[in-house]
Amino acid sequence: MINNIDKILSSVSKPSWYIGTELNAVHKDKERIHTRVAYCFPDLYDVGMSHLGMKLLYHLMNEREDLWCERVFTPNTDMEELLRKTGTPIFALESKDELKEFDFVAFTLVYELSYTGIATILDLAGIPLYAKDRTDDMPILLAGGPCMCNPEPVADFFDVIDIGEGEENLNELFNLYKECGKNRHEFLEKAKDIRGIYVPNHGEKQKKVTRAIINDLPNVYFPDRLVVPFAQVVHDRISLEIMRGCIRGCRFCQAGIIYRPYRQKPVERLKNDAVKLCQNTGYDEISLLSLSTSDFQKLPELAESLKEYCIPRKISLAVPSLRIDNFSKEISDEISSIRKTGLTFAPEAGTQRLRDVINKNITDEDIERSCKIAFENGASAVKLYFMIGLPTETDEDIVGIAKTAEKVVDYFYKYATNRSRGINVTISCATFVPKPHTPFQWEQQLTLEEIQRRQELLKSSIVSKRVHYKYHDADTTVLEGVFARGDRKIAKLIEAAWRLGCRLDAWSEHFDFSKWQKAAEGCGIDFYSYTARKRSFDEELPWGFVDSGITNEFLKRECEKAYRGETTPSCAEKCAGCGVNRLCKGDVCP
Amino acid sequence: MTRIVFSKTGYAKYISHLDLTRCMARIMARADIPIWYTQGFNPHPYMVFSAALPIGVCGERELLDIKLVDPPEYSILLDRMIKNSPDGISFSGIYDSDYDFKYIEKAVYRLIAPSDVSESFEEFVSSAVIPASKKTKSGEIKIDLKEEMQIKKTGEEKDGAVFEIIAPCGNERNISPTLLTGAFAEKTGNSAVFDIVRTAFLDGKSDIFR
Repeated sequence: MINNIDKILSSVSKPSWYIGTELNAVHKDKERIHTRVAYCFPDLYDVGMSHLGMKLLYHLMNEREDLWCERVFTPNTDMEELLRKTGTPIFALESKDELKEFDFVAFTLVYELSYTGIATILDLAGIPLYAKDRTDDMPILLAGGPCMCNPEPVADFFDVIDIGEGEENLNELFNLYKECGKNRHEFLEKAKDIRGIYVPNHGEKQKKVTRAIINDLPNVYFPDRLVVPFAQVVHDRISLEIMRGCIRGCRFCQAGIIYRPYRQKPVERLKNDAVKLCQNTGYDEISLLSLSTSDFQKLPELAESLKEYCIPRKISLAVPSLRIDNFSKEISDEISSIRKTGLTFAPEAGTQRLRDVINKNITDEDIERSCKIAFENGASAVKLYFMIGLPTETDEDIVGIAKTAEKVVDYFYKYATNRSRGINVTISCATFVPKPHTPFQWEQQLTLEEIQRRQELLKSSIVSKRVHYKYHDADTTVLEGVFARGDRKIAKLIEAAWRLGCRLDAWSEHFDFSKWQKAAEGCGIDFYSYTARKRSFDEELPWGFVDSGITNEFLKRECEKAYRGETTPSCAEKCAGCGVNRLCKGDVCP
Repeated sequence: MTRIVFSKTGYAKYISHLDLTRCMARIMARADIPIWYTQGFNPHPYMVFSAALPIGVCGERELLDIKLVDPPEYSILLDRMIKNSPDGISFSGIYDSDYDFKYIEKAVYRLIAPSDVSESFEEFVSSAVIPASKKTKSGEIKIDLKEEMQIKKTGEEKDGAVFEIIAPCGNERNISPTLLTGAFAEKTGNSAVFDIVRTAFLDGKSDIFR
């Protein structure tokens, strides 16, 4: 245990981020533990503690009696400075032991802009960043999370990368570690045989790594408790995952591919989980979590059964991620009866033509119909998600975004029961980043200048004062694109940028693109060769060795259909033959 | 009103007052305490704290008032609260009281100066004036801590010298003991960590406020 903890905590801002005694935090006797895991989230506490995946795996690992999993987050800049000034190593929150004492240092990688956090944590731990520079007595570095469907940009840093759903193979991995009697080389060699496990820096390179998939989602582990932070965090509530995967097949969407197949949890199980979670945390809000909540077949039944428990206890129920085409009166009633939440829809593109290209199967009529229901039920704020820079996009599509938002304003005055409150429509606009394993993985991304031009065009196309426009910085998008489809050369770039002082890049107040540009120059890396170049179907892709379960033939077919403006029906209507069922036992698809 | 006596010690001393209120609401929910909710657009559990603790200061006998709806026996409630609280927060009493928190005027603190600074600290607190600046809503004001506080050395422990401090506490006037340790750090350049515990509240007659 580090010896000056009180000195550190009494001088840092938000000390409760670093105390590790939150309710349901797991404390064990380390003398009786075989395997110790320092589980790191490479961003600040309040972001990491909002991420369900980390909380879920934290408790899953701690279910094992022979293992103690503790948490580590990237310290805020003042804490980093303080640790350096006092020569204190970064510590795991629960035991306050330094990371070198652990068997595993594991990272969950959820978004690309958190990659410099890996370097911050390892440097503060005194652990070399590159696998090749580490000795046998050092912890084994493990990584997982959705970003690892293209592990190459960070592969040089890690000993083991878990691709896919960790619930499925983590126990097998830790069993193996025990069987190997902590023999590192034996463990790394044998780990390659576990499905989903990629060992990038030991022995022969694996020709193929197949994503780990939970076969029996209805019965898979879900924690009955969550660590309840003292400090307020971004998502400070119970996230109840109701299903995994998505039936829709939007062609830009990586989550829609890498969480296939579509698997729902039974209502009974969800109700039981929700009750236990409420009792064990004391939270007063439950949020249903999935990629497209309104596609959950028994949503009204689920909402009804949760309401029965929640209303007398003043627990509110949030239902995000609704689709426009099946947003019904029933769903609207369920939401408004507990506590009103703002309404959010994602048309993604401004014209029907472009929505067909991306396979977002919604129409202008769908938008009008859902707005009618929402406004008749008293909604007065609508948030619309769009993307710019999608393949085949023209200026007409950009102007279409503004027009779509203004139509929503018109629908308000046409249908609202109480017009005096007025309407607020917010357009939230991201820039398209081609992602690995999607039908658009070969596409080109807009250059900085072109992103800015289209953002300006959209801004100038909005006439109504009721419509507000929010957009992301163009330069972060470029960097995301580089990481998303990067190769092994990117590791050097991450290291160089970190050495130049890049920290917490997902935060606009910290992000400094000029440093990244300088780092790229130094490494001889041209961002646009990763982002702004259309790749041919024949090109060997850095993530080509990762089998997501979805065949390349399917992705090519979908890409070609996109250019023809043809849509593909949802998995619920007709199987599109993506190939994921090859990797599943029995009949898992809808 | 139902008054609850609780402590906030160990790492819990690093939890801010705002975070403590949220934490308490969750303890009450987990412990299934039939707490009365404020009526209004956004109902929330009714809770009133005696006085906020500065971050880094422990509390041995902090007070919290709640309103209950058809409560079962108090001992059962106390038991449930103890079982449902995180490390560092515990409960030691529950009783009815109408003695309003506005009658709190002072608080008693136990301060332990670590051995390596105990002598210089003793010297520091015996100076004739101890100037400090205090942030208020209307800006910074200069005060003399010597005038505001009663400071008395009460003994030695293995960790250092023990002092008792009595300082104004309440809505009218509130002087935190961290102003004293802060002034000491500023004067001597020594940022030693002091162990400070609020042990009791006093009313206008200097009786222990219960």
